Amino acid sequence: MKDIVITANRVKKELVIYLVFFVVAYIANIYSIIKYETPWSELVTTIGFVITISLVLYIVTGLIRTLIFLIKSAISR
Amino acid sequence: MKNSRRDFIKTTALFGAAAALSATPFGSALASSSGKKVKLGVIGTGGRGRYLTTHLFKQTLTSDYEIVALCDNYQPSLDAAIKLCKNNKVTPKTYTDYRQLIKHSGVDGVIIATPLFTHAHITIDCLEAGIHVLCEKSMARTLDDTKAMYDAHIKTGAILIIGHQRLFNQKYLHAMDQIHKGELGAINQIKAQWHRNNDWRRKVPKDKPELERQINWRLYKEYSAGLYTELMSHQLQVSNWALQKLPTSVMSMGSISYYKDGREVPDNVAAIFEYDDGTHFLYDTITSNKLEGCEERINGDFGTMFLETNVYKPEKPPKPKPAPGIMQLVNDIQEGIFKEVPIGGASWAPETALKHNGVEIYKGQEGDGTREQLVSFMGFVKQHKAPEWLLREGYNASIWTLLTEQAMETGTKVTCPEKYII
Repeated sequence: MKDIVITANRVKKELVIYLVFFVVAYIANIYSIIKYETPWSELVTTIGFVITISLVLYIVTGLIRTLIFLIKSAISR
Repeated sequence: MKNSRRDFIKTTALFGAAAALSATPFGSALASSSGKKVKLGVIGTGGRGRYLTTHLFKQTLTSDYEIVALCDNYQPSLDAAIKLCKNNKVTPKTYTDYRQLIKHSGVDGVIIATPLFTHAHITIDCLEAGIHVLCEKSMARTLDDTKAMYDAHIKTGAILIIGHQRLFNQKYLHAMDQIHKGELGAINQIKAQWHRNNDWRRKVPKDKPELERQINWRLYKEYSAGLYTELMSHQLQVSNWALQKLPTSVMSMGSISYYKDGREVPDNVAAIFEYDDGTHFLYDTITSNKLEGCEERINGDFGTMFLETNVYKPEKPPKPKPAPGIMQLVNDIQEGIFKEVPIGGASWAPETALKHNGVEIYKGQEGDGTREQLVSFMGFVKQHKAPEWLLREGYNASIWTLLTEQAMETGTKVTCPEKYII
């Protein structure tokens, strides 16, 4: 059985991708506070929602990236 | 409008019994409840008379009174009242003729709870003897008798108040205060109903069928205007009180459609009163369905008050606490993606009732105001004076109630003759 090796570079790349989604979700939170005139304390109190949304975005894009990788592999064979 | 709806709700929630008391006729009467005891008599010791007597025994706000005389010409009612007094360790003198009570009992005041058609002559005789009177509503069977009672009060100076207990009920007093301050906005309609599901009959002893008319006097035109005088007069008084004016005309219909048992008064009635600014008071009573019960509903353009059930419903219900901004954003995005696009269908939406449970008008109300009314009366007797507006409320409700009966009988729109306007 072949070992799956996750390189440090790969881990770093994934962390950066997740961080981008976290920043996007955080900016969306700021935008929604302004748009719906809700209290600024939500920057802290809704951090759970922000993390959840960023994880959802990360997983969805992860699935898309995996799909693209599989299609590319199939074509190159 | 002086205060916002929010303030109204806040005030409503915070308004305490003490604050209400000081603003009521009840409060001013209590202030004078010291000194010699008031000697009270009860004329008419049937169901209502005994109910009031029981309240007198129950009330603990003042002990400045004593029941010294009871009177009824129906022996079983008198016996029941004597027993009630005995149970409370009181032994009043008893009479079967109210004239004897006036002559010999030495009472300062009387509570009259006799059948409607007897109110006028008993009240007038008492007033002329210098005895203060709390007379059950409605005032009298005829317009002329009602006016004669009022005139006797003016002539003698003795106190006369009519048993509209809502006038002493803190919930109503608080609601009226809010209404008169304009918290409900412009009132364009008042609706009231009294729906019950019973035949309104009292049991007549099987061996004495001749007592039918005496016991069930409410069902016979000679003695009562039925649902008009016994029920509607209360709610008409509330409508006049809320609007602080009197109707200019009334139309009414009534029929005997359910209890065809020999009664002479309608078993269902409906009436529309118009006030000078076009505001209407819509009223109905039925006796074969009690789903909606008894209610007075004041419809203002800022909100609605349900006085019997103690509920205020603003036209714009307070919004629930909004969801966090981020959740609102997600919902909006979701809605934008999955929103249904209507292709056809109705071009209008039915205006269904507002779904809002409302808030309490007044917290802490106990009873219906009867206790406060009795205590107030005793205070008034001690002071030898009562607020004149109390009698005016009863008088006008009585006059317009009888005019409503007239409107029903003649099938016309009726206005108040000049001679009955006070």
